Amino acid sequence: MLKRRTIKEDPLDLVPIMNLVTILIPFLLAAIKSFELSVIDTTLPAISPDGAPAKVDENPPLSLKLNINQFGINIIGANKYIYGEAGPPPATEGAAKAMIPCKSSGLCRGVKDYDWPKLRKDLTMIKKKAIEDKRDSDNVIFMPERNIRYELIIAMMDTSRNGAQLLELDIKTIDEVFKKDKNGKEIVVENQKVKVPRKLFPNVVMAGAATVPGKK
Amino acid sequence: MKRKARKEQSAELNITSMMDMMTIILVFLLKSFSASEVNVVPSQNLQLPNSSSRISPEVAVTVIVRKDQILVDDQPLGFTLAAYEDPLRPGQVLSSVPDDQKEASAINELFARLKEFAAADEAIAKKLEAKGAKRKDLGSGKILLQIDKDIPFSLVKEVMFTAGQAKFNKFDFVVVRPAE
Repeated sequence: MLKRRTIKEDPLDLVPIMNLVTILIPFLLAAIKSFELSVIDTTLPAISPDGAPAKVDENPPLSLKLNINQFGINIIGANKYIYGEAGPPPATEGAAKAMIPCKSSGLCRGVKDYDWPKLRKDLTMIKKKAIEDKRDSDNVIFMPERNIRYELIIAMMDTSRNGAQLLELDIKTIDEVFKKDKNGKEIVVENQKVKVPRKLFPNVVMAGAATVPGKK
Repeated sequence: MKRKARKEQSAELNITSMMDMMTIILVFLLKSFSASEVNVVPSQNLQLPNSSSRISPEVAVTVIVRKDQILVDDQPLGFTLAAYEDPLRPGQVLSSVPDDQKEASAINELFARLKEFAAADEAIAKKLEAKGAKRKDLGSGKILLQIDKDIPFSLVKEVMFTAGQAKFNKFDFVVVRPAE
């Protein structure tokens, strides 16, 4: 005959939960993200094997090219939009060696030496005029010089793809960039939080690295 | 016997406070949990550039260009990159493919390695096509490029050219999104 014991209140046994949590922690520590990754997608231009002409679009494409070197950035293929019908001014002695020279008025060494705001503004203007002209203007061809570091190419891609986002401008339409006050002077919209990221030239093509489509 | 057992009974460890701590840690770890399929092992030789791009990476064949070597799918190629002085920044070095590794501007080993992946992709695509999938939905030919921010364009171009020759024509440059 067993003697009935008095019910003793045991404290809650947390040891199994403790075991579980202790096992979970190393796994979660391993999966921690200290930085967030994203990608920039680009494609190579395909060279058609039989030399067939590319299909002719109704809207003639704007073949905008960007060249980056140690003196700054050059915009090629949009002289009409930048300088008007008169064309570029004749080269003079002592003129800047690039269309968008370095901020430090010498050689550019790092990302911060390049004048990204000016590039963004020029590209936005070109985009606006190209849209008015009804020209296809989603492509931009990159022609960096051989010693230009990858970091600078990425910075240039950022600027040419989504110019507004880089400077955190609150721009909903391209016209807003060129807003003018009563006297016809341009108002610079700056330092506002971005709401609508604008795409300027979303398709980046790298010059000098073409793919050959193989036979299936 | 009974008496002896009672003697060995000791005080229980109170783990409630530790449990509290663990629960709080668990919440923070869960918050920073990354479900991304693409992993990057950062090191001195692989510092990814910053960008404001917001496209999430997808799994594809990965080519890593570090300051010292090139890796395809985490397997290093059989040569180390040569260093030369950056003409723009005296004292700093840039990487290049050693001259004896170049042939017709395509890096042979990289090309051979990528060709294998392209062939495997093609085989899968053919099987799927036989089962009625449309070719344009199969979406191969994509490559993930993890390139150190100090790699010169000449090397980037060589890698892209080589990949292009091996029928990879979509490039995703992996970049770091700065914290907001």
